[in-house]
Amino acid sequence: MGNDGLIHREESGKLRVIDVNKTFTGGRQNLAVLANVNIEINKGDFVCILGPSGCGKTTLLRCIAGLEKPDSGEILLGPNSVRGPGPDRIVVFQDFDQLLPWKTVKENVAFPLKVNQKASRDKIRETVNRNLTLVGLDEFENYYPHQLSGGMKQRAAIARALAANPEVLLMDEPFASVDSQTRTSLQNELIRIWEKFQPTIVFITHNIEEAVILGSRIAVMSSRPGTIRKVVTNGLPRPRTVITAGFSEIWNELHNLLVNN
Amino acid sequence: MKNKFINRVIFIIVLSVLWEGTVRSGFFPKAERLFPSLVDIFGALAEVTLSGELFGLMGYSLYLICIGLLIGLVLALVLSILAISSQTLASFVDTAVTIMHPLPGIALLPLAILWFGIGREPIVFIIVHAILWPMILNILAGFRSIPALYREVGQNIGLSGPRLAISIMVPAAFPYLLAGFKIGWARAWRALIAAEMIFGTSGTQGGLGWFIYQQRYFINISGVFAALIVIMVIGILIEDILFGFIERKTVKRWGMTA
Repeated sequence: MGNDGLIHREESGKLRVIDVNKTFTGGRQNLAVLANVNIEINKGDFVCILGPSGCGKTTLLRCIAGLEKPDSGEILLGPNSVRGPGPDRIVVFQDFDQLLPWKTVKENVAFPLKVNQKASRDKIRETVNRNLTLVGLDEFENYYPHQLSGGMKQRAAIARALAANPEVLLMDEPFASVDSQTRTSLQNELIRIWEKFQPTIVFITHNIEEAVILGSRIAVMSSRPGTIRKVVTNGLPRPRTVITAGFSEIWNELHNLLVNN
Repeated sequence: MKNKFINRVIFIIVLSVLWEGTVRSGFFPKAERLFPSLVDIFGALAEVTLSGELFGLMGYSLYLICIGLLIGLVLALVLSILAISSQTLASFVDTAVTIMHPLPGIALLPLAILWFGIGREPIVFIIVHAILWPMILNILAGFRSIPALYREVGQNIGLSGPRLAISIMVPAAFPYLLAGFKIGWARAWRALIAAEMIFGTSGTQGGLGWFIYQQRYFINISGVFAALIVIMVIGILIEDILFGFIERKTVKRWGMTA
């Protein structure tokens, strides 16, 4: 676009999903997954996308990441239209196997830096160390992924995502496969990281409690074909737990939105 | 690992005793000529070793096999990467493999001699033919087995095209590549010895296969067996020690043993 003068400062990193439709063809019938999805996410916002399984929330995230192409509609990051995958939108997947097994934890975290920047070795080393410390994995930097627990793998994946220094962090139920204690500590760490660096985070979950604990705003999706039913603003003070005053009201509101689909 | 080694040693001792017993029993009347005793075999082995002849033979054979393996590996990688990057090229490579894979290298020897003359080139040609097609099959199976997630992780951080292939596809398919390389090595070794036996010498140089052929010509059967032992020992050393080492350093370390 190049018309930089006309873009407002707060608009510069805004993520806009405009009238996105997606239908999977194949098999006997077509499957409409996303129907006219619209959402705006401000720079530095922590938005949870909450929806029942199969509602298309992962497809929406994959469209934003550029790993899927919408049939119609547009996705804009700042002034730029999303045309394909890129390091400005890094995905943290649910799957533990997202780390490359032939690289150590340290090498996995350094990988996006080595691919994208001509940073010096010292600079890469420093960034890797900082991010590993941030997620509490500095002692495991020379481990291979198969030697780590599920929670540690997700921590390493987050460190790798942060090392890429993306504009938007796209998280696809990254804590869905870890035990509940680990999940709580991962959630706390993610909030701590978000408060410190204020990256834009889009976090997919089907877990109401997780959405209330994490999100500044929570977008509730209907079941298939998915569309955004409502975006609930969540102003509860942080750190949040299930006994924070006001938690149950928001929980109930979200629950009603989900069941009255 | 240690157990396996001990078992092997015991097995070899048993075989040697049976061998020697058969020779000394006089069961075969012309034993001393056609079925030599271990003493004669190792005598012949010591002779070629001490005279230094063995190292020349081994060097020549291993030199040819290294060149053949290198060319075969590079060609197999290039063709496989082309095949996964385009549907049209994939069917072309598939067809080539289907046609060429069942064709024994020795059947191409007359052609190879016409094309390249006698010497090293036709042998290298036969080796490349022997390993190229099975390696392509393995590499393609490896590429096709890669989880979509690895590719997406690579694309996500900004890789595409050849960089994606080298940084993600090749290491992700490495267990298959290594298996393909092992098959390639075994087939190259067979092809080499076979090809050498037919026209193994360029000038004064020849390899182990050519040596076997020559010893048979002189009816020095101990020498034939000595060369067979050398061929077996090299095979075992490469399989167990070299490939074992590579496996420990790569796929086992990465927890990627398929």
